[in-house]
Amino acid sequence: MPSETPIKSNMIFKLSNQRSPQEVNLKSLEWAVVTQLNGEKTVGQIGEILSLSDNEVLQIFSNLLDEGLLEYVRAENSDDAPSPAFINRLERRFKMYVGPIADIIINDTLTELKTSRQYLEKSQIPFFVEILSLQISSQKKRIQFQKDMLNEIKEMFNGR
Amino acid sequence: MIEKYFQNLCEIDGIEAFALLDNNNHIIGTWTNSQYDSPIFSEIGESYLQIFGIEENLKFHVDEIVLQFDRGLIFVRRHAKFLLLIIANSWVDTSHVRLAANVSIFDLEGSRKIQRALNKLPSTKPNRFEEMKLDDVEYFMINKIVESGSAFGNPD
Repeated sequence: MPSETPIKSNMIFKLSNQRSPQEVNLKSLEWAVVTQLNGEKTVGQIGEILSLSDNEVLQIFSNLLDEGLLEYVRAENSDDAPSPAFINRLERRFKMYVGPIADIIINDTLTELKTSRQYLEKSQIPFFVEILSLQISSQKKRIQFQKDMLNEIKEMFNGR
Repeated sequence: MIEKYFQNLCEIDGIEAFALLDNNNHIIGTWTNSQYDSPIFSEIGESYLQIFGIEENLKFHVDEIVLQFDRGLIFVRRHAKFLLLIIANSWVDTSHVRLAANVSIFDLEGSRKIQRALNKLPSTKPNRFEEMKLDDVEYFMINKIVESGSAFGNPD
């Protein structure tokens, strides 16, 4: 899991075997969350079970993560995430315009956005495309890339 | 007619309306999905033409202004010959609108028919501030303010 990636309600964690909860001074609600961790329940589900508000559960998970008690398992499939095929097409198209440095630019841009391919959300795609396109020096090619991606974005939002 | 050239914008969920206005605030074309009508576009257009007119006069380089209002956002893109004014719901992603505006304007410029029409349009935006004249009292008061650095005069 990339550092600084915000905790999201569809994420699943388990207890890390690097550090025991006994080594840390935990509050009662944090203990309650720790007891629910099984590598299957999402952050949102645990919040519901313990009747915690969204902010509370996200804050507790963030603290536990900072203490090194959590190990990220995966994110439950969410409608918010673009398909891997979409990301592949985006990368392929971008490579056509900037060449082999496309991967580096994409990785740098994702880092700036404090996200990764895995955590990129559909709502971030237009901004991501806009930022990437700024790296294409020819205006004509930049607009062509934006045009290609607008069609892809349209299909992505229509559920392709 | 305008939607033919701005299909990308029409297809974004949450775009309420858009209009193309020339530098004299004449409406070239509009598309609306809701209750917005021509007088609204003219009123908004007038304000933005003044803003861009001043901006042009000061030799700034602002091509786009996005402002939120109680029912959404107003996105205005400046072009040498026109303003593209877009009204959208507040949840519409500005980057998405920007991409669609970029592509649509580029396509528009590429059309020979449109090129011929654009050539007939004025290319400078009005600078209403240049037309403003101060009377002697206003001139004196402003000078006092500038000298003292305060609207209330110099305490010394």
